Amino acid sequence: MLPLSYLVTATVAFVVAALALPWLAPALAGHYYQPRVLALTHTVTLGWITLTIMGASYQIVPIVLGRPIWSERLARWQLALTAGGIGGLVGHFFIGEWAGLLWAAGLVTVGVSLHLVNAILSVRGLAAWTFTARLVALAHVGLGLTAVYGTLLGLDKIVRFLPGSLFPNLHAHVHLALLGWVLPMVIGVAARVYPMFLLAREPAGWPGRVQLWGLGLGVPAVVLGILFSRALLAAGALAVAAAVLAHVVWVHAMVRGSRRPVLDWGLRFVLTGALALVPATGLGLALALDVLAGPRVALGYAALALGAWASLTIAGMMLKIVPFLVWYRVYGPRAGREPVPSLPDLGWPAGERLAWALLTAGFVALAGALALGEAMWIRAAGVLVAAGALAFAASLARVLHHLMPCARRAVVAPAPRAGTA
Amino acid sequence: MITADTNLGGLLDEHPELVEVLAGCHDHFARLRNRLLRRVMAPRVTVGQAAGLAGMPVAELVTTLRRAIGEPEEPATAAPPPAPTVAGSGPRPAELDRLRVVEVDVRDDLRRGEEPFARIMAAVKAVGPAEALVVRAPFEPVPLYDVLGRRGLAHWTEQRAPDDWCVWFHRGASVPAPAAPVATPSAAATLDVRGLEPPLPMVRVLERLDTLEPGDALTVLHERRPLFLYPQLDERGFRHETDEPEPGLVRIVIRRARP
Repeated sequence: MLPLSYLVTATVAFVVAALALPWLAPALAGHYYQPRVLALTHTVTLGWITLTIMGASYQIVPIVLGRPIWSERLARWQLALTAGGIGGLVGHFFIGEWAGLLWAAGLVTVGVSLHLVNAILSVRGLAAWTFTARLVALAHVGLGLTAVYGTLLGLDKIVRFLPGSLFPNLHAHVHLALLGWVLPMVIGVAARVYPMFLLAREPAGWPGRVQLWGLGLGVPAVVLGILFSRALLAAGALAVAAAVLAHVVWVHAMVRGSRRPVLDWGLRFVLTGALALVPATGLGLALALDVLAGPRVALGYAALALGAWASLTIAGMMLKIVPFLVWYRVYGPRAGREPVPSLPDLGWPAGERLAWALLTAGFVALAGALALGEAMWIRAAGVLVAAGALAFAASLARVLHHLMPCARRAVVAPAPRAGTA
Repeated sequence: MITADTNLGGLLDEHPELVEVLAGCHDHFARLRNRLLRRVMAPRVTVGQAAGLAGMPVAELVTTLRRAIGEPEEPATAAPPPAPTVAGSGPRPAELDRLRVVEVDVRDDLRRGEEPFARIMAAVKAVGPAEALVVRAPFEPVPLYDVLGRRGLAHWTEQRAPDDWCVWFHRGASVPAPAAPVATPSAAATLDVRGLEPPLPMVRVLERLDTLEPGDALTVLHERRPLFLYPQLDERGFRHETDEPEPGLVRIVIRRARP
């Protein structure tokens, strides 16, 4: 139930952020540095993306690293502190109250620290530092630095002490989170989990080295380059782009080698997200190389990166992980003793298909509308995203309702599809 | 002209409309509507073998197919009927009792429309001289006989239920007696769950354990350490040991504790 608690909390944050999009359209048509836009951004990055990754890591890391997590109790405390901190952070961003913001940021940092402690003690003494293990370790370094940087930015609002101007520090914080935490975690776990779901061989070869070196060298170069040197930024952006390209090459190879005749909707979400990574990286590269500039392009880039790539990928992984967690809790103890439903029996493909169509169209439209800066179009795209988020939440709710005893009877007893034996 | 020797894959490439004709002849052929299964299975079967697979007369199937594409309905050219492989058609080879069993159950794969050939071939590679690969399928897997026969594997088939065919592939008369005596066949059973999407590996293992006698062992071949299976084993009173004999292969030996 521990990963489920994280994933359900994260889904609530996603739905809240998506429903807020149409409402915040006038603010999003302006500059991105304003309280309500920052509140929305942190609802997505911390409430949705980070909580999902943390929860999924408590489910996936034991599988990919082959050992259980160190302490479930610590992870439960961590959820309470982090979720409370995120709520406070978003609320104080929304009302523009910086002193309260600092306390909330500190709470988030404590929660993140507990996660880091749990992660470090879980991988302590790990014998084989695989591709996935290295990227997960890299991601946790990025998470720790992002949390510290964010807290310092909050403190800087009260006692100004950070060198340099506000925007380079802000951009460095954002890219530390996106490229130093989310990206290595996603592509590291993907290398181990996608083959499991696609029924393909585990990827190997030069793309793995390009991803490791590209992120290991590129992310520090991007962050330091944003602060100190455009040339370093350009070099770092190229290295990260090479890593992304290598990841896409791997995903493509896994899809080609897949033994699945049909992709389920969770996998379609994930693969659409991987596809969106290409234009998002192109736009990021254009911004780093000064081919494009300005807040409108930056907002379009953020919509592609946080929405079309990260959100679709994470939603897809959730549609694979949550049914397994529910199945394991409800039907695992009965497996082998009586007929049990298969994972597809738990899901709601029509709802997942609707969510995929609305979210994919919505995020692409949102990126375009934000780049244009027209409130009306931003609102229209926001309605699509909000409807997609509701369809996604409804699909998950359909799976979660198997935790209720009446649903178990409905699936197992009379349904002709029941039984995997 | 279509004969009993005509390759089904080539025929369907030339006349894809025959898929529906075949599907109308027998439920087994409905699987050919799946393009992937058609691509993998059909080229390995002749029309005559397909008739045997469906349990219908060869001449009848040939005539039906000819009629569907406008060929003259002459009697089918003489072709040997499929080899008698059905349970009871031959005595169970005694050496099967001495072999370690590696079971690959592809019934669910086929029901889901997934292509099981790669999984079976992966298991074939791991079959040693003192082992038998037992393939369980919802129909008689005739195409496999030729494919695995070319790899030196003899087969013996039993039909346990209308939709449960069990084929033992083994190294035939060259099977050596095991160096060390094996207690019973079930005591040395092996279950290969590689290539299955979670949670099917766990379901397969737990189903198999239900029939495990006290003191018997089941060896499971897996792609990774099944961390979610272990609590189920502990809760059900099984002992288990895990090792990794080679990269990408995890072996779990599960024993039911003696009362």
